[in-house]
Formats: sequence, C-alpha cells, structure tokens
Amino acid sequence: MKTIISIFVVTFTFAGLAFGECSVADKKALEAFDHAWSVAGEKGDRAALNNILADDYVGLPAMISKTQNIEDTMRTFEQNKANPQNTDLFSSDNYMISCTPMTATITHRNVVTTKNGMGGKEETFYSRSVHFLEKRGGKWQAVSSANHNLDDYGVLMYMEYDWVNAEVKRDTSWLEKNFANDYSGISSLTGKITSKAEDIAGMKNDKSVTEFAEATDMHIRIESNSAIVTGIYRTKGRDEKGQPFDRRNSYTDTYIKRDGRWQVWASQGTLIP
Amino acid sequence: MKQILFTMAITLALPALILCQTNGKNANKNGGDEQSVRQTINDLAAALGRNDVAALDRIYADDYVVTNENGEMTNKTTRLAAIKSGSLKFESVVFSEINVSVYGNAAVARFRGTSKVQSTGGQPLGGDLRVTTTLVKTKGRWQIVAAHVTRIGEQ
Repeated sequence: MKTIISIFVVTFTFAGLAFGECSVADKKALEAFDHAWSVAGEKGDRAALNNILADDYVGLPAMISKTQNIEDTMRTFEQNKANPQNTDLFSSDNYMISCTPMTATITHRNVVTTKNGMGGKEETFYSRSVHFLEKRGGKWQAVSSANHNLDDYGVLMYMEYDWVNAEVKRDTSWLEKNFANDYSGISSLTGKITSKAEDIAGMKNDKSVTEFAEATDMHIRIESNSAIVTGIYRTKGRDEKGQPFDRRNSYTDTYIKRDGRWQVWASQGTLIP
Repeated sequence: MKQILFTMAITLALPALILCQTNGKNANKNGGDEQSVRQTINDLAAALGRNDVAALDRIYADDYVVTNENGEMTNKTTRLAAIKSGSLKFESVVFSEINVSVYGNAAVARFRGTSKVQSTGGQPLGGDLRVTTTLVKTKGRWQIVAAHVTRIGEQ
C-alpha cells in the first residue's frame, strides 16, 4: 500500500513539475465534479451521468462502457428506491487531485457501510478510486476509472489518519465506533491506564485546543488477527491554561480484527524530544 | 437384547461425553491462554533479571520491536546484542499489576515494571514504568511481538 501511495506521489509530483501547478481553485472544482458524480448516481440522474462520463469512458478492471456504467447505476438507484432501508451509505474522502489545463486525475478513498454485512451486522468496506478526466468542449469529463479494495494495511493506515482527525475535531464518535470495548490506553504524559470510557470522557472534557496533529514514520505489521502500528504523533496547540505546546510522541497502537473489522485494542505513547 | 441396549447406550453416551469434553476444553481455552500469557510475562521478568539472552531469544518473536521509556525503538537483534555485550544490563526487574486480554491467537498484556538498569550511551533507562506488550501464539507458543514502555508520573 505504501508503495502504491509512493507511486501516486511520485506520479503527481512529476505531473506537477512537467505541466505546472494545479491551482487550489482547480482542485476544488475537480472535487466538486467528483461529488456531483456521486450525487448523480445517488439520485439516478441519467442526464447528469451522461454529461459526466465521456462517450469513450471505460471503467476498470471490468472494462465497463459508459452505457453499461449508467445502466448499472440506474439499476442500483431503482433497487435503493424500492428498499431505502437497505441502502448502503457511501462517502468519499482523502482526495488527491492533480491536473493540467486539459487533463486531471482524481483519487479518493471510498467508505461504504452496509447494514447487511457479515452475520447480518453493519459492515464497512474501504476502497480507493482513481478517475482520469479530460477537458472536452470546455468541460471536464471522466474518460476512465479504476477501483480497488484496500487491503488490511491500507485500512489500518487510514484508521490512523482518521484517528488523528478525530483527535483534532474532538470526534468522540470515532472512538466509540473504533475502540474495542476492552481497549486500554496508557498516557504518554503520566503513564496512567485508561479505559475506552475514560478516553472518550477525557476527549469530551479536554479544554486544550489542538491546532495541528499528524502521524508520521508509520510502520504497520499484521500478526495473525492483530496488528501493531508504530509511529510518531506530533500535536501542537494550547493547553487548558492557554499555554502553547508542541509535543512529539513515539507511539504503539495494537489493533484486533474482531467481528470482521479492525478495532483499536491498546495504545501507548512516550514523549520524545 | 441387553447387549443391544448396552450398545445403544454406549453409542448415545459417547458423543455426549465427547461433546462435554469438547465444551470443557473450549471453556478452558481462554483461561489456559491467559495463564500461558501471564507465564510468558513472568518468564520475561525472570529472563531480564538474569540478563538471560537464550531465554529472551525464545520469548521475543523474531520481528519483536520495543519502544523504550525514552521513545527509542529497538529490534530483537539489537536488544539481545546489547544485553549480551553488557552495554544493557538489568540489575533488578519486578513486574506487577499484570492485566491480560486474549482474543484468538493475539493477546495484550499490560503491567507495571520496576527496574534498575545500567546502560552505556544514551539516556538513563529503568525506574517506575508502565508497559504494554502484544503477544501472538505461533505453533502453540506465545511470543512477544511488540512492547512499549512509558515512565509513570512524568508530568
């Protein structure tokens, strides 16, 4: 997975150098294009889909044509309309976008949550899409797409990034969903052991402000039904007394694959200079 | 007739006996694993206290990594070499407050470690510590694949 991302980064960097920067406005417009594509699919908007997909569009790896893609989308729309309670929840995030005046590449993660997963339980699937676009007749059109499911390494890598975002946004629902019920954490500041409930309460009551957070030097190992992620977690912000802080932690997170999904089982950090 | 009834009774009773044994075995499985993990942690304390490289070689998985109380990461080869050369020497090691969670072939053991350590180079090691270890059962044997150490009450 890391190799795949490295290839993306190298490809995009090279494209950027060769053809000039893709402006922030260009990237916003392309992300809006992608969202409009999703909305057209959700609403069964055949006319919009017809505009979004180029006539020679090909969906990989199954070599799906424009017509077939639209028919498949419409069929799913009709099924969802007939059974709204069984409709999968779909969202896209972690966008990486590059462009030249006439071509663009959009890649993003897909998160699909189905209510009827393994054993009738809710289940979430992750994949990554790459869309290749061309500007034709003054408007962007998708000429091809590829989609592949994330492997366990990819899922875990994104869980780490999502966790960092949850910390910044004080999103306790992420902890609620992704921490195992028998989770335990050890504070990098005090060495105190905390439970899932205590970590959630701690996040709710935390008066400090995190202005910046990132996980780097990430290394993921999968051992049987468990995974160990090590890395460096840096946070910058202001503590509850308003004093600025800039902390770096060397951390180890242990995950367990339970009920068909990865859950955070243990986490421990140690402050480093 | 008696013979037939006896055979039937045996035939019916055997699966029940086997079922009971299986259930009993399964019921004890987690408890047995938890005991084995605890034993591995106790063996670790003893091996560190003796600076016993051969024992540690069995306890640590080949891809073992530890993040020590200074946040430095070390793999099995480097750690064992340091103990063997004497550049890392444990004078005393006591583990307490051991808490074990087992799920399938994976386990997490958290405990308090109090140690006196002599090390050449780098920052001082040892003291009052909190440790999380991740263990994996391979070929029926629990081994430590990762450990993380933090000093207690630093702030």
